[in-house]
Formats: sequence, structure tokens, C-alpha cells
Amino acid sequence: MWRALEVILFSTTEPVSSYQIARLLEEGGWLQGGGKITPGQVEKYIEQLIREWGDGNRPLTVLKIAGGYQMATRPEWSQLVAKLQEDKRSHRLSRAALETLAIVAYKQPVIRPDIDAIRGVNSDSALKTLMEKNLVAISGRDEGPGRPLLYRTTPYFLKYFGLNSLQDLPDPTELATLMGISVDTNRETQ
Amino acid sequence: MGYSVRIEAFEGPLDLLIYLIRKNEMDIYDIPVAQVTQQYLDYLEVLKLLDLEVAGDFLVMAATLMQIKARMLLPVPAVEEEEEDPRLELVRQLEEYQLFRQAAEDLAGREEQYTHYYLRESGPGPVQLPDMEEMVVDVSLFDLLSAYKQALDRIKEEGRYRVTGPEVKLTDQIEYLRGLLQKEERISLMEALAKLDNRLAMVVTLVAVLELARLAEVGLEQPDLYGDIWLTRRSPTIAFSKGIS
Repeated sequence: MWRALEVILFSTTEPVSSYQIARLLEEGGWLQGGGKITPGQVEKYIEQLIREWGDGNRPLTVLKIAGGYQMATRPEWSQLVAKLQEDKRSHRLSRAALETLAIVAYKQPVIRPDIDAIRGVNSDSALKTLMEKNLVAISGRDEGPGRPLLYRTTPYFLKYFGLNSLQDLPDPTELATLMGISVDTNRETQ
Repeated sequence: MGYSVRIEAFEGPLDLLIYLIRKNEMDIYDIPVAQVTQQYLDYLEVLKLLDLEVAGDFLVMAATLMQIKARMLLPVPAVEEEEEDPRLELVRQLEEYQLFRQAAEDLAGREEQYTHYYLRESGPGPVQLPDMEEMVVDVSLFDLLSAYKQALDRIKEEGRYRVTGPEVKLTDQIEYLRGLLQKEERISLMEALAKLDNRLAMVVTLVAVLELARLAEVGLEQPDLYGDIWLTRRSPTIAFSKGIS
């Protein structure tokens, strides 16, 4: 079972959920006595795998992102891997892009005028960049006048920032205390 | 001057304002508007002198500041009208902007951190993964009812059982479960039921469990035969019920 689990984690090109791993193991007959396994148990095994690899100084680990698991090289090895791949990662996001992204992440689905209102500037080019990088996507139109476009973050956004789900974003109230400001969480919306 | 330069010194008017407020160690909740407005306009002047582009947004803010300053200079009306502090909207805007600036910094940190992990981007062929749709409930109705009975027995044993209780609403119990799942990704159904003390609450909570399963917000599993049932949090949709609305 352990070998099969490693192979699944190695082969997948997208994060694979514990449920999917459980099904794969069951269907392939990789469990002793043709037994069953629950997603919860899969998660425990993966945690153990990560620990063992850590203890054994293996250069690999498993990340829990976008609702699933995927094997990854440890950060200490990033230089070597970057050399092997034509590293497209040298371009970090600009502050404008990050601010816009943060707003979309917390307020989605959101229309551009609302983003502009918070930033105090026009967010057109920032949104364009974010869509080009597949971090943000259009997800329909708002009901109101003009039927403006609504924006949401993409599953790739979760992968890019190592988030398992949107719930893993810091709590807005926590951020507020970090900055020593008060936030009215019961603000009425029009 | 024969050349013009573009400097991305400040992201926007709010950015500049925050800089001025901090630099002068002003209290954001009691901004000396006249002073800030003057410094703000001075900055715009410098930009013009250096032949830099001043974006329209900066000018809009300049106008807003002057408007606030004017309103604050007006004499208080004789009639006892509750005049709202003209700075309020600006303060709210600054607060909200700061919040997202902090969130953006947080994201930047994560970006830096996760950029060092390399994942497989492509393989020999597309990966065939099992469907996620049937994933939600791995437990039979019989098991759920057994759990209910066990919890009922337990609270009777502990002497906490009440024959009647206050009215229990389904929406409340759904929120109750969501609250528990917010803190811990995986919770025991037994524990959740045992926290209650009467039949009605427990039954409604069971229905709440089924409702959450239907919404695919929760997965149910029973690892041990006839053992406890575990609820696992899933997040198919964004649910920010707290925080900025």
C-alpha cells in the first residue's frame, strides 16, 4: 500500500484528494485482503509519510493544497530544480497585483468598481495581469445596472499560494489586530 | 526640462495619505485635515515640478480632502442636528485599504515561500482520477441512527437528559455544526450530539448533518465498524460569513 501511495503522489499532475486516493487504492487492490480505506486514514498515512521523509532527510515532501495532495521538492532544493527547468518563477507579483488579488480573494465574487473603490485607483491592468496568470477569472455578471463582470480566484490561485482552501487565508479580524486598527465586522452593505 | 520621469513611489492616493499620516504620527481617528491636505497638495506640486505624471485618482483625492476641510471649517448649525464627522468616510476607506494592504503582504510572503516548492506540472499523459461526486457520504442511515441512539443513551446516563427543551431551528443547528467545523477540520458526530441535552435538538442536528452533506460542505466516514462517525469539513464554495462583507 505504501508503495502504491507514493506512486500516486508522484504521478499526479494535479492535487489529488484523500477520497480519490482511497478509491484508487481500493480499486487497484492495493490494500491487504482487498479491504477498504477511508479518506481520514489516507490523510494519516500521508502525514506519516511526510514525517518519515523528513526524518530520513529525503528531498521530497507532500503539500496539502487546493483540497488535495501533491508531491513536491523541498524548498532547500529549489535552486537545483530551477536550473533543470527553465525557471519561469523569477517574476513575483507586483504590489498592485497583490492588493487587487487580496481584494478578490476576500470579497469574491466582486466587480471591478468595488475593487477600485477600496484601492483608490484603477485596477484594470492589475486584473488583466492576474487573469493572464490564471489567478483570477471572470465568473459571471452582477445583477445590478450595467451588469458588470464578477471576478473570482481560480483553483490555481490556491496552488500558487500553497493554500488548501480559501478558509486558509488569514482571518480579516486577525489582520486588523495585527495592524492595531479596529474593523467593523457588522458593516451594512447597500 | 527635456525629459519626464515616472516614479511608482505611491500606489495611489490612499497609499500617499497613509504615508503622510504615519510620517507625521497622526492619529488616524483624529486626522488634522488642514495639515494633511496641505502636505498632500505639496506632494502633488513636487510631482508637477519634476514633470511627473499625476494620475487622476490623486486629483480626486485632493478634491475630497479639500471638501472635508471646508466642511470642518463651517460653523456648527444653530439647530441641534447631528452632523456626522466629515472625516468618517475617509477613515473607513483608509482602514479598509490598510487591511487589504496587509493581506497583500501576507500573500506576498506565501508566494515567496511556495515558490520554492516544485510540483509535477506534466506527465506522460492526463491523469485519470476517480470522480469526486460520490465522495460525500460513506455511512448508512442505519449508522447515523445508531449514533443518535448512542448519544441519547449517553446523555441519559450522565443525567443531563431533558424531556422538553426550547425550540430548535434547523438553521441554528447548521450554524452550530459549521462553527464546530470551523475550529477543527474533523469532528466526531458523537461529540457534537453529546453536547446537546434533548431529543429535539439531537434530531434537528442529525438533519443538519444530512443537509450539510447534501451541500457537500461535509463528508461523513466511519473508519471503525460500528464506531464513531466523523464529519470532515469540505469547501466547495467560498463561505466568508465573518469579516468584511
